[in-house]
Amino acid sequence: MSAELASSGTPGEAPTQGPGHGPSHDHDHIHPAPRFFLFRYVFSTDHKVIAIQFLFSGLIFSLLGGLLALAVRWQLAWPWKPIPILSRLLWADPSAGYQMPPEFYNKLFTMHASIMIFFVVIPVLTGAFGNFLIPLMIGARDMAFPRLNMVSYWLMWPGFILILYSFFVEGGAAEAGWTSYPPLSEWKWSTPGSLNGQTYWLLAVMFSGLSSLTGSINYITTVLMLRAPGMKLFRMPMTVWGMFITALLQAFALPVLTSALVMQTLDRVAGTNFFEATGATVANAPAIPGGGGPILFQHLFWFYSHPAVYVMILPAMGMVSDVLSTFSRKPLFGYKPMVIAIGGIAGLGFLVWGHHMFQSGMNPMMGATFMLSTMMIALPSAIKVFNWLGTMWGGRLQYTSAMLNAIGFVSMFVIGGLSGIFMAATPVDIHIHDTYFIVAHLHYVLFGGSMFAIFAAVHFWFPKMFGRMMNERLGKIHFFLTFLFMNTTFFPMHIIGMHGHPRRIADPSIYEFLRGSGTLGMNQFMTVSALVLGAAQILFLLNFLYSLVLGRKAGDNPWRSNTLEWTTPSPPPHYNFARIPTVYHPPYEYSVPGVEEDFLLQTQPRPAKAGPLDPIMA
Amino acid sequence: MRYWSILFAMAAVGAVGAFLYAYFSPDWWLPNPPGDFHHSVSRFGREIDKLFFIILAITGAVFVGTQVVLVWAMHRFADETDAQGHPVRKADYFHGSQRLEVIWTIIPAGILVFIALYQMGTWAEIKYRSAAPKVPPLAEVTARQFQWVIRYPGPDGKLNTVDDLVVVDDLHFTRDRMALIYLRSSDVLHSFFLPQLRVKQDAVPGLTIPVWFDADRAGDYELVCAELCGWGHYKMRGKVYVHETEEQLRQWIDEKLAEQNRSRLTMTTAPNGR
Amino acid sequence: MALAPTDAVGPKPGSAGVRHAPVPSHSAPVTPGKVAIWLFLATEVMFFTGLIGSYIVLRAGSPRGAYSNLYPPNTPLRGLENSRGVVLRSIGPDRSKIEEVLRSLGDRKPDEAEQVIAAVPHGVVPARSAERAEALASALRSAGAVVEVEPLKTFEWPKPYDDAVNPLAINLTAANTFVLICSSVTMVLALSAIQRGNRAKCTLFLLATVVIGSIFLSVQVFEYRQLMFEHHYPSGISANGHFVPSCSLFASCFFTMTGLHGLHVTAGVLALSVVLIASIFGAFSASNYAAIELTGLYWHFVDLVWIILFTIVYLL
Ligand code: HEA
Ligand code: HEA
Ligand code: CUA
Ligand SMILES: [Cu+2]
Repeated sequence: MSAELASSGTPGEAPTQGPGHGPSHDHDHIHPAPRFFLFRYVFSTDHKVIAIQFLFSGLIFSLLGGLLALAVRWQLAWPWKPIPILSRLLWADPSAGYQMPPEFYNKLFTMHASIMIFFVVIPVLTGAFGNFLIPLMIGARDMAFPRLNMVSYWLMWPGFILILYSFFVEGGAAEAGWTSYPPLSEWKWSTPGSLNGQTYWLLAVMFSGLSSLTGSINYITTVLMLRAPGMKLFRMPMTVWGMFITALLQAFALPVLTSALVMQTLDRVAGTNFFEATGATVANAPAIPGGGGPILFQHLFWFYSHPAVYVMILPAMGMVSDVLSTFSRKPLFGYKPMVIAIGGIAGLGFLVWGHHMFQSGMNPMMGATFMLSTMMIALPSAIKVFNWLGTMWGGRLQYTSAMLNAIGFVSMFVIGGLSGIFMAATPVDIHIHDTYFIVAHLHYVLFGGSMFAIFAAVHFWFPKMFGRMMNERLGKIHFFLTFLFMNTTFFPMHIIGMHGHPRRIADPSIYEFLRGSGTLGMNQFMTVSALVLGAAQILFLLNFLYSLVLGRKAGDNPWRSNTLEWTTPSPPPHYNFARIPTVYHPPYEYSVPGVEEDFLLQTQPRPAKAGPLDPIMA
Repeated sequence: MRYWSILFAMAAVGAVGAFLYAYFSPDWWLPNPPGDFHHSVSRFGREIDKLFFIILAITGAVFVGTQVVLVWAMHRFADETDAQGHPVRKADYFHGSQRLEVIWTIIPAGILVFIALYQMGTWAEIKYRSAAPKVPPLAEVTARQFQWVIRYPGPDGKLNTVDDLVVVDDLHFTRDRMALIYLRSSDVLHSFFLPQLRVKQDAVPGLTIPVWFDADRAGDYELVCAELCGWGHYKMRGKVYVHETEEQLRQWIDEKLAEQNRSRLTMTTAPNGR
Repeated sequence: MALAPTDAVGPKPGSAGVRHAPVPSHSAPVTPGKVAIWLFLATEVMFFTGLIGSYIVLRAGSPRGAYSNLYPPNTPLRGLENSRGVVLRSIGPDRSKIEEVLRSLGDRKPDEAEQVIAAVPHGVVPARSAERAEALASALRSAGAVVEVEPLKTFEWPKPYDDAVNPLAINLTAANTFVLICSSVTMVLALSAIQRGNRAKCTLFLLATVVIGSIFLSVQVFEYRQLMFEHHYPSGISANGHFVPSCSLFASCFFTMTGLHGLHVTAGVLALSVVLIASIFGAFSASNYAAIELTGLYWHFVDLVWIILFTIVYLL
């Protein structure tokens, strides 16, 4: 199978042998990197620089999002007790004992979730790693449209500014939840955050959406058009598959969210009535013509936001697959089934949005069909999980920080996914909908899933991005603490959720059935855990910053991995590849019999001794 | 470094342990009346709990299975190097197994289809309009920002007439009888949540949604608002009281009505004429 | 030839990455630009699907009685089933007399009389009973006006050409639709001209497209002005006489969908203007016309969306 490909390369273009190919003699063909600082690092069209810009912005916002979460936790454990230091800064009013106003709590979790989702996880997964890895992994010199790529990063900035500014407008930041259901999000007097903050929120999310949209068009085109010779679709690394299918999800789902956000914005500023029912208003507000449907917004929102949760997991799954295979020194188990599973998740992902609306007043018969499709989506996820386990089985597992975080992903995603089954079961969802059971689920998939994948990816590709290694010892301590305390923070949420603890409430002690020591004690326990979890992230931050300047120099291929990015110097030059490489086989040829090393770069032909590849699995 | 497997094993043991412990703790398990914390007081509650158990058992088994494999693989296949730093063992080289792929697609598919079909009936019974009990409505419940306004039919037994009793945050019904309410909202979204009875339904402005439930045990319960509805969402709590007999409920309604009439009377005869 | 791609970084827009194609064959008909524009159009399709889908859902779900020929949209009509409305068709010679009658008998606020008169020939004065309607009608008739008494008819959604509830200028817009279709034709001609190497003709047709597109936009702006500021409409359309986004669900949908489409047309005209300028400066040739082709695709798409919108908003 590999022989036929040798001919597809340009004559005379020998595959680059291994890492490090010295200064290129083809320089005259290649644009040099811009000289000026501004164009080189700020308004750069280089996908690698843009990736790093996304990464830094995302990580900075994750600090803000994390701090907001810790404030949420504080209030839940010790309701209305002033937060040390912070309270005095924020509510300079000793008469109220520096107490947090109740609406502020709603702002906290709304902004926590919005920032984590729209400004951390999506930009870091697709913006940073998508940008960095797609061209490098498919053997291209850049994205198909480098300037559009730059635009897509700078479209984030109005979003960044608007979301931060919204904290300071009259009434404060949005507080209708990240789901932003009307009419609460529309009527200015329904709650302080809907006065002005919500408009800023809408605009910020729209900008972030535009950024993702332009990005996704770029990614799809790049993957379709710019693959190196021999890089057939079924030779692309899982990371690229994840990013590619994610981009398709974004391209088809995001516009619908945009239309919903536009309609909500118009309802707020132009007085349209899309999501406002006849005859209802908040106390003493003037009557409105109405006629619209509040539930319609939920349909539009979830039509995007369910696929969006897969946007936050598919790239993660892709990257984890690569990390797992590399450090198991073993081919990925069932590469093609894995690809098909990603496609299946994405396809089914468009059919299940109603599972967020089982109790919303939507026709219960529709609930039954959505339940069926939701159950089915566990199938491709099951295939993925079992294939990861199959990958590890029989391998030679090397517990680097990247690997540990990747295994953490697998382990935690199983918990998060299985709790999804409870909620997919409509009758059970009656009880656990809008309780902490949901909060547990979403943190297991988002923190245990997406965040662990981000940690794994940062540890894994840091050497390629910055040319230096991260500190392994610190990385392992960080993983240990994060893994431990993320479980103690989020696992008890299943239990209190099952006990009926509603989400989004500022003070659970209002309710008698929550007053037992079980839930209260648990809340405090989780808060302490969360504080430690937050503190553990400082280690990551330190490791990151320290390694940036003082880390050990990384060679071209420190992990002895197969994919194309490892054939370039670390960090790769402006043009990535001095010669466009030729690809001979799928990316997971580790420990091939007859090869001395335990890895085989995609640019090296497989030896005849290794036998033909399994056409169905590999 | 095979000791990393211990960390993962700990997480799994902790997760299973938490649910095992929860089973014996009234503060942790599904919310039920004190004294008998494994008994859901409503018929639908018992069905939901049963389903919850079934799914817990299935997912628990899947969870334990996957974690055992994971931890074992981490332990068994950890990289080892000899004194010279060469790996002791080579990794296996294979790309997958079609047979396994088929097995682990078919079996979960069977399980999932089973879960899906098994619960269909319960869902229909609880939510389908066609399943609503043919009884006169107990009350009309209108949610508004941070209150539940509950309107019971007055002596004439009909809703929306002048003699109706209107109270706030106080839901009363009789035990062992299906209570049917009409749920409405006069401003934003709210959600009618009775944790001990496993009832939840959003209140949507512009819609009137029938909700029905029962309880086999008299006593006090709680009504929670489960949909974010503004700054006071957390305190939108209602009391629920289940009476032993229908007479007691009627008696309570009559008393309340009398009480309200008295206060209305005192209001109209107040000295300033207002 | 050692390396195919030469300008991997910073290709010109339009021709972006054409020479960057990965695989040896360079005659591939699909360029990255085309892939991207089709993807972009797919996202646009989804965007308008969101809007049109909402429109369909809202229209199907709008409550019965949401629109009536006598009362503002979404007035609760319970108890008003028997009401009549006096419809002022023409005020006759003496305006002040009519105003006086309206003020005295119609028991309305002073400025409402003016509103009713401004809405002639569809000035509506709702009256609770047939007797009161008749009394008002005969008073108005004796003051020289032409009036009719109409019962309450309720509608689920404003029907086209029903002046009591639907203010849209359908004929004008139909003509405008034709104008937009013409611009698609000139766009096609521009492309085929440059494909045959005729630069002058291409520039001319591009100019025509820009001009026709601008005409479409102007007519739309004119229509908006009429609806929102100039004309007065009966109360069945709006409580305050003007047709603005806030006055009903129908207005919300109309303005949002046509407005967002208008923005797309504006973007198209701007893009075409850039292409036009480039064409004037001779940027295109028989072998290099990607920018024209891509903007053309977008332009046809916008045109197509308009045909759909016109059909469902104006005609159905
Ligand atoms: C990355 C994000 C992510 C991912 C991947 C998922 C994955 C899944 N989610 Fe989750 N979900 C969220 C993020 C995510 N979710 C968020 C953020 C919310 C809350 C939104 C809000 O309201 O704020 C939410 C809410 C949510 C709800 C709504 C609950 C409610 O509000 O009442 C439901 C209901 O069905 C649901 C179901 C599922 C299911 C079935 C999956 C499946 O894809 C999971 C599949 C995986 C597995 C099942 C595990 C692996 C499989 C096996 C080991 C095989 C064997 C298994 C069996 C035989 C059972 N999710
Ligand atoms: C990716 C998504 C994500 C992440 C990572 C988190 C992380 C956390 N979340 Fe979040 N959360 C959501 C998404 C997320 N959450 C969503 C969608 C909701 C629902 C909101 C709604 O109801 O509308 C929610 C709601 C939610 C609630 C429920 C509020 C309520 O319903 O009343 C709680 C309560 O405990 C909570 C807690 C936490 C905690 C303690 C963390 C901790 O893990 C945080 C610890 C992390 C940090 C402190 C910073 C982390 C990172 C770094 C420090 C990186 C280093 C930086 C560089 C290298 C530069 N979250
Ligand atoms: Cu009402 Cu929350
Ligand atoms: Cu979902």
